[in-house]
Amino acid sequence: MIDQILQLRSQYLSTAQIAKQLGLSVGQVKYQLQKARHASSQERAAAIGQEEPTRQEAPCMTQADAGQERRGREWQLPDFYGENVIRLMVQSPTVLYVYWEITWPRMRMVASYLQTDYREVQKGIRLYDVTDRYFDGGNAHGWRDFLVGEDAHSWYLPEVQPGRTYIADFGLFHQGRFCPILRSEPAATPRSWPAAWGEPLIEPVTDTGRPAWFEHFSYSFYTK
Amino acid sequence: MEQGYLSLVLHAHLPYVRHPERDDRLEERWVYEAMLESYIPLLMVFDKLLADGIDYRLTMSVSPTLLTMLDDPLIQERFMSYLANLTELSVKEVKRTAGSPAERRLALMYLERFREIAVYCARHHYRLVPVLRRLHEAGRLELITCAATHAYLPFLMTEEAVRAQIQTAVMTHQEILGFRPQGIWLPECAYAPGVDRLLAEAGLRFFFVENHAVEHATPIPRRGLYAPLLTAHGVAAFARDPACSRQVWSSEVGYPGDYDYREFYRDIGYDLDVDYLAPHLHPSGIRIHTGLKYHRITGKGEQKDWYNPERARDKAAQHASHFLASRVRQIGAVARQLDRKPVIVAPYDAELFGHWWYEGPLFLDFLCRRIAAEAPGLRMISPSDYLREYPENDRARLPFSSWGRSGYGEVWLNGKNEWIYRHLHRAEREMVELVQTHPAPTPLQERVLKQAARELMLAQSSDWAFIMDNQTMVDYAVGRTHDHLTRFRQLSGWLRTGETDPAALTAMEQENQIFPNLLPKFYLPKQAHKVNVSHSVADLSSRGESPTRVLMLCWEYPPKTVGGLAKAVYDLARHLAKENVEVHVLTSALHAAYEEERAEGIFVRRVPTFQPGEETAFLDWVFQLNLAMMDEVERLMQQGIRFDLLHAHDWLVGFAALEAKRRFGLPLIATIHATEHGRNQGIHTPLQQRIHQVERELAREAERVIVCSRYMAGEVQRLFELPGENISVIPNGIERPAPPPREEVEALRRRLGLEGRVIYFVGRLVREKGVHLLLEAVPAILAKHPDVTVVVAGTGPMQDELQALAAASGISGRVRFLGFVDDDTRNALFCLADLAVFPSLYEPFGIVALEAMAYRTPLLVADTGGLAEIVRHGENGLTMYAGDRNSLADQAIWLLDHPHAGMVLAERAYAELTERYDWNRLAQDTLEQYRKLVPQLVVW
Repeated sequence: MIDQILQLRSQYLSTAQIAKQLGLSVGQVKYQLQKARHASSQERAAAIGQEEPTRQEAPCMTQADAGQERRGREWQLPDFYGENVIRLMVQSPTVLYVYWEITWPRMRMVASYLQTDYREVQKGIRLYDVTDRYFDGGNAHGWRDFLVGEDAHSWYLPEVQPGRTYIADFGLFHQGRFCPILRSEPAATPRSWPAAWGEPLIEPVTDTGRPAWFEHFSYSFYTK
Repeated sequence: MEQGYLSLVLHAHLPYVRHPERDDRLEERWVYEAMLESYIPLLMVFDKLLADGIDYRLTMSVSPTLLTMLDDPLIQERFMSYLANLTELSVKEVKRTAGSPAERRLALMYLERFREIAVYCARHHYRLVPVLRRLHEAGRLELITCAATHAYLPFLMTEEAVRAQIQTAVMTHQEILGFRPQGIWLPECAYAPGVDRLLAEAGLRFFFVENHAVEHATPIPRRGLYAPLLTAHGVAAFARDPACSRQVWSSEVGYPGDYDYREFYRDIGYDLDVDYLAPHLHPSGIRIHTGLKYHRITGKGEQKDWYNPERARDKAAQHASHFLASRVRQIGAVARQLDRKPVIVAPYDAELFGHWWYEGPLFLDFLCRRIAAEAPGLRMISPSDYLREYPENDRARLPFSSWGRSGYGEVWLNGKNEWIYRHLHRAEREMVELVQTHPAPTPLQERVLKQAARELMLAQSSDWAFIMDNQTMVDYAVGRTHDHLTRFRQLSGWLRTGETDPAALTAMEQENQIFPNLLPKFYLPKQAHKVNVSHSVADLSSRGESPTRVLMLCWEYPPKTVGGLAKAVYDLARHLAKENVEVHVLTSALHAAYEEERAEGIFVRRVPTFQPGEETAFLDWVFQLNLAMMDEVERLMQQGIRFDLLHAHDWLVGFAALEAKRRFGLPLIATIHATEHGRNQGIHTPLQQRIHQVERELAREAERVIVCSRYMAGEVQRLFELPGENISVIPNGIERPAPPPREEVEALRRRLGLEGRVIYFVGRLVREKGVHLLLEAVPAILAKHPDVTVVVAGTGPMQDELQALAAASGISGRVRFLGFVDDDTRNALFCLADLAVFPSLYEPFGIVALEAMAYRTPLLVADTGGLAEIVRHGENGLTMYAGDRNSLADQAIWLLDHPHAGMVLAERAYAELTERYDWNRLAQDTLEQYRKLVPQLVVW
């Protein structure tokens, strides 16, 4: 069991994702991971500040799961901010990470449209490959769907292609249709091999006030 | 003469771990350990090299957090006690080891070392910053900066936050060291497209990337890793040389793992009796590294021999020679293929040298002396020097990359630390907003803004995510992230509510007093954002008494014109604006992009849907539009734009209208232009049923319903079971246009080849318009008036069917289907026609009838719906029995028979327009409805 969990963990799946894949509860996965962590706590880190003088005396101080980390501290960060947000991040050339928050008025609106209980609809991420396209919702090179758990607020999207640009929709799969309810900004995976011969030269840009057509950062928090 | 260059770069960084509240924080010891074992030994080496007249050149990045701590009297003072305590321990050790000469020798080595360091520090008053500056000024050390708190820049969300990190870094560097840095060490070597623009903006000329960033650059770099690449913004990227990294970093083949070198993990802090060590450990009695380590690595096993300083020293010398020889070979091999002198870039964490690799500073000492003495075709250089010699470099696009495990972001974004980004990104956006909403802060607000920026930046340190990934000291990293973000939220709350707690603020400032002069304006957006326009709106209306502000929702709005709705809403909005109502229209985007405009006093925002209409199930598309509208409403409300009421047009905006009403408690007026039931003469399909439901809900939830005719009032009341007093009739209006010039009309007649008299229909070709009745009546009309041509303008689903019908009746020659016509043609056709016929089966209003009246065209309409209310038979036009082709033929023939009577009817109709259908009057009527809901409405 723990080997399977660790193997999935090494693919950077979240606890919720692992639980779903192995048919376990989130709590079971966390318990297994904690056990494994105690076992491996012999290893030592090298860089400065990474020594761990407290380890022998207080092994429980090194728990990683947020729930454990929060122990002994009055946790004041909210779980939700009451805003509709989705953010797509690039972890590596082949792995994306997406987090989101849906406010309950939006859930209510969606539920009233679908005439169903929001909690009971299958949620998912539709990942569009929009490389070199001005995406209008219908002109992606292709897309992939990831079904996510009811309680999930983030997901890793593995096995994406390097050197491509992606946009993610969070939405509902309902009666054979995908009903998007939040759309991310684009995220570009880095190409993980050398450029092809004959790529055009890069023109200098002197205006630092204006971002290039595609850049990594949001130009403002109001861009959707 | 050298063949090539070596650029050694030391990156010195520690997170801000100053804890003024207590002097025994273990984390603060990171600074003292690094000072004792790395920074001071390195500076001593550099100083000595300088004194000995050795020609050497290194680059050192000192992160602004570290620089601030080194410059901090509290840290200096505490370091002094730390050093004194250690010296005391080593004195004790010399006594303790009296019986063991091998061990005693090492204890003495440390004692001597600590005294040496104490002398050096005393000479410099424990201030390392002036030493750094002196070495820089002597041209031996090029000092560069790093992001303010060592944030992993690609994982910040907004360019404003990246800018603040960079600008604050440059500012801090300048304040503490006295000059602007030429280059920057990007934290974790992490680069993403866009960072370069902000570096260029800050006047930074170079940075470093991991080698694969250059290997995967576009286009293929001609000089490989041996020359920098310029980004589009002209900032030079130097690539880390993998061979140099391997020789020093690798745990397998790296120098620091040599068996003769000092073993890091065997420390007397763990080996000796706790009671003996007590005064030198943490007050809680936790064992810690003291820094006194007596063993050499010896081998892979647990058994460790005593350390032998002479042997270690010889090894460092050998390794320096080996490193140098490898570089010379490397340069020799590359220089032949390159059109210029190659540069090898060897960057390392400064803390590697001395702390982890005890002999590291010695290695550097040997290396520099050997290069200077032997001049082996290689010279040390800094990136600035290199760019001075070779200002021209190839340009390339570099991909996202870092020097972390696997080369990208997985160290700083994985299951152990992913949770921080939701909070960090939110705080970033809040910070940008706070700065924008406080353009002229009071001194107190300014302090709050600055502290908020400090807390945000401190929370952004990549160290926290790194430590969480590393699974050591996780609690501290989680705590720091949590506490900075929590304080940020508190500060942000103070600014929002205007209730600051000055004592708590002062406490925060004292606890984290980094970046004393940072400028909150670094967070001000430089791009023209959507928000800017809206802010000007807010400014506009915050002046004086605010006018009535109405939010209109309508799925079509010019230039997007599908039916008559767009024009009707546009005209109403325009005339309401004339009455000093501030009208905001929300509608669907023409293209896939958001647009905002202000024209004729109307604020129009066009919002895109997730999917294009043509490719989506219609209802899904409508719902997406409603979601997008709701987002926009929320955004406007967030910006402080307050609406007095909501005016929704037709069911297509029903979801958003109802949601906005519920969420924000806005009074809702709905105009029902037509019903699904009426359009289809009943409800026949599930889709129609669904639309009917939405219509019903909208009509029932709205405080008032406006319809365009009494006919519609009856229909709506019956269908939706509404109380009659909630419904008002306001007809659509029309502006009397200038008739097109005669010659244009005649030109059109010639162009279309029309002879004789013309019967004109214009409208969508759908069954409810009754065009088939007109065609069916044509044979009878032709029988009496063979010179007549019927002109049908417009398109629609029934076009093919209607053309087939004309062909089957043998009247194709007398019926002209023009398809879609532009407005000019459409209007000219009214002038050209002898008779306009609108034989609708269902017509809520019948705006075309008003158009015919406006062009003084004699009019024949079916006596149905709104048409029957506009046209009174024999008074201002003729009517026919709805659905009756014979009645149509009879009336048409009568009019053709009596052209003069037709003219009289048309003149009377024309005169009626001003009286009943003038938009100014209709706008006032609408405003009257608004007042019924919001009695206190102010109109300027």
